[in-house]
Amino acid sequence: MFGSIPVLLIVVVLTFLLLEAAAGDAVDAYLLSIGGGDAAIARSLRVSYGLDQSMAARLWLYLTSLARLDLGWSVAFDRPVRDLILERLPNTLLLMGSATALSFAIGSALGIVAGAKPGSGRDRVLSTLSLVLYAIPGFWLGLVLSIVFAVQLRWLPTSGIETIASGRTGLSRAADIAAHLALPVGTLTLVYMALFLRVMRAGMAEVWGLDFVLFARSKGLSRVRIVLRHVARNALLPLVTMLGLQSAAMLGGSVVIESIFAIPGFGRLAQEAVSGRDTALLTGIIVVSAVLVVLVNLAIDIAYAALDPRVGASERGA
Amino acid sequence: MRLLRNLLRTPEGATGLCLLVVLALVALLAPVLSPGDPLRIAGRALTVPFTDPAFPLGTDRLGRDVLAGIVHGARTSLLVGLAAACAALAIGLCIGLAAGFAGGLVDEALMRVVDAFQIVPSFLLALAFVSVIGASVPVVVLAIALGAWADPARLTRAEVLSVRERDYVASARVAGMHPVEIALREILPNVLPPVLALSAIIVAAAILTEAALSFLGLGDPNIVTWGSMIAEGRNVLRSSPFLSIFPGIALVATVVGVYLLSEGLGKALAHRGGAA
Amino acid sequence: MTALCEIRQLAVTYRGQPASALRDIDLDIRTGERLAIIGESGSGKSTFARALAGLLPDGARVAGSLCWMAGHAPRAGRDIGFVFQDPSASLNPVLTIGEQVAEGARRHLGLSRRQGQAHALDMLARVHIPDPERTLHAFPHLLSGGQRQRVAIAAALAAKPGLLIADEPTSALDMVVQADIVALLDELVRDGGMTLVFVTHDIALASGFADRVAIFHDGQLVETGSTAEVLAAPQAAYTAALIASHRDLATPPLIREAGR
Repeated sequence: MFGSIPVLLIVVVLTFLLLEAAAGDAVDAYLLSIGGGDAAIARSLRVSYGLDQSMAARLWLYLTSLARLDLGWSVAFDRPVRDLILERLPNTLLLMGSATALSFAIGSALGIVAGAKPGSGRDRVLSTLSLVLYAIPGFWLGLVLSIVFAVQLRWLPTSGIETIASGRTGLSRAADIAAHLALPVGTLTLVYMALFLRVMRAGMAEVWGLDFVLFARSKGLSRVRIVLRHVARNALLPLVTMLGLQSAAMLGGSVVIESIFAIPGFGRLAQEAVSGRDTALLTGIIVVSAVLVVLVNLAIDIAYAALDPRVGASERGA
Repeated sequence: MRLLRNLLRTPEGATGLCLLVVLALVALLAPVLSPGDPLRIAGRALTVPFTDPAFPLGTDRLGRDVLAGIVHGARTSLLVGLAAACAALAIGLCIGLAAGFAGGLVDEALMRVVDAFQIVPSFLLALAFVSVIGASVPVVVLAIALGAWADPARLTRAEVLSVRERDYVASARVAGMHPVEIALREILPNVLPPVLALSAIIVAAAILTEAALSFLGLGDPNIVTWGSMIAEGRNVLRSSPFLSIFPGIALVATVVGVYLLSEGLGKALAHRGGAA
Repeated sequence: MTALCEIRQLAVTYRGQPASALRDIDLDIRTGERLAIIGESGSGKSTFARALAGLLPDGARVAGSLCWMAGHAPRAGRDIGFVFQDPSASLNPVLTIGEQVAEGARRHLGLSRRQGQAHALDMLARVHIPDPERTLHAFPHLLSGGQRQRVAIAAALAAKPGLLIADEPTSALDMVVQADIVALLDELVRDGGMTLVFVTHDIALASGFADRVAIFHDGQLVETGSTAEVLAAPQAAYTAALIASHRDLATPPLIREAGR
């Protein structure tokens, strides 16, 4: 885990350097948004935000602030970056968490069904279905589902995370939020489910060829037991690894989905940072994303160790 | 050659290749199929598809021909997809080879950099890159490549490490071959197949990323792309959903073609046997 | 001895292969006997073992007849136990030893979870696993090769089958361990009154405890008969060559020649 610290450091430094290459900084964008301003105002603004110092000095300042968990100041929102992120992050975590859990459960279940008999008709149908689903762009699927369920059928709301100023609390509020999140979570679930289905199915196809499966058959065990307890249980391992590898991509995918459904989340914040040319905010977002991915991978490693007894064990020979 | 024949024998390979060949032809012949600038106003706004033979897929809010947009958009998607994948593979191969060969501290340092690029979500990286440098096709290609090179680098390094110790490399060294020559002649041919298998996934991901960037308004504003068309269609989603649906179908067809081709390639390569 | 199974004109061809792996096999397996199937690699002995147990891969074509005197085809686990060559590959790495030994018994004998664990403990003790209590909850990767093979034998015999087929169970193990495993099989088969079909390439190993031997070569049955007779006076040239190649080793007499 501590091996991640140099990596995170590299992320911070590279991100900082990249965003410093910006042609115009946040002050320019700000002045543009208020309809222009003269050089003197620009200069004084820069001094007050510390944007007039050399790159090396600013990098050092940033790193030391980071150590104090201070992520800088957002010029576009006129608030500390940390507050913005902490405000928006829970919505995204709720969205991604639900989608990941659902897609993992459904995807692996369908993968087991497909992998129970590789090459069968059921397998072929599911494999083709997953291929098409995997190829669908998430944002387009979100739009299509939005058209069908929100616009045509009017079953679900089109945007936002809850009905504004409704004054709801407790269960009623939870239900409202759930209704609003149904489409975005549904979209993400469908997209990720395809991947998990494919990985589980492929894993199972490979495990079927292993000797211990033949041994299980020689013991005359029921087919269900062999499929679940022997084949799927082993195919689960690469699936869990895949979950870790995909966590970064999933976080990135939240940007477009939150944009379509107007969810005030972390991903949407990234888009707003880009349009506001707010380098401090963007840097903060990238750094926090990297940290999140590291944490998720850590959790996945722990889960994997729990599932595979061979990990971390020392040989007690003879 | 034989690989092509093996490829065509698999249903996945045949279908995938067909789809992609059709798409490539459409992209190449775009100026012939839909002459003129696809972004020009061609007719009445919001023509319903399949009603007017001059505009088989209808027109958008400004009266631009949807079919022309799709045909010309194919160029961007395929171009960006292929270019980004090539760039990602090139960078990845170089770094992977360097790390695998150098070993020691250089290897460690390079792998930390690879780690760094893998933990940052590639879409966020692309966003940041495009926002900082500006939206144009080369920048989009580079942005996507930067997010995608880490996996090929890791794969290449792993292959180099496993191949490096094999007998024929040792014999080449004994024969006095220069390390670079060894890299090119002995190692590269063995590294390429698994890396190429990965490339199909990168192409598909690149196409989807480019579409997403265009959708968010961060693509090249001067050309028509499927992503920008979908974004345009969002404005009239309730009345004319077809504006967003058609480009999406084109995207799905393209990506499905790429995946099918890669699966077919995988099977065809496996049939060739484990000749090492 | 009554016959357990009568095999007539058995032939097996694997999918995608032009030549048959087995042909014209005529053999009887007698209840309670210890039959050694001896042959070199490619002789078809493993194919024979798997055909007997019904474990051939999909697409393998079987011709001829396997006539079981019990009247019904033997059920895997319940009537036939199978032990494979590679003990490391026989055990599922993510399940406990206890679960893997008990599952056959739970399926065929209808034991509950608690009963299954108790039965597994009993089986582990019978195969002389040191510290069976601890092993019950351990995972396969913690055991040595010899111990894993003992566990595999325990698992194969958990449902008390009448026939045990062992396909080169000692080939992947060290010499000292080999002798232990063979002695264990000998003991278990005697105590349980089981029939044993032991496949091996090592004629010396087989001669130590088999009642009858069947020599396979190139997919065909070359010779069969009681161990003493075949080894003292081989009818086929191939058998003689097999024996001779072992006799040349400067080891003490390998064959317990009856009456000498």
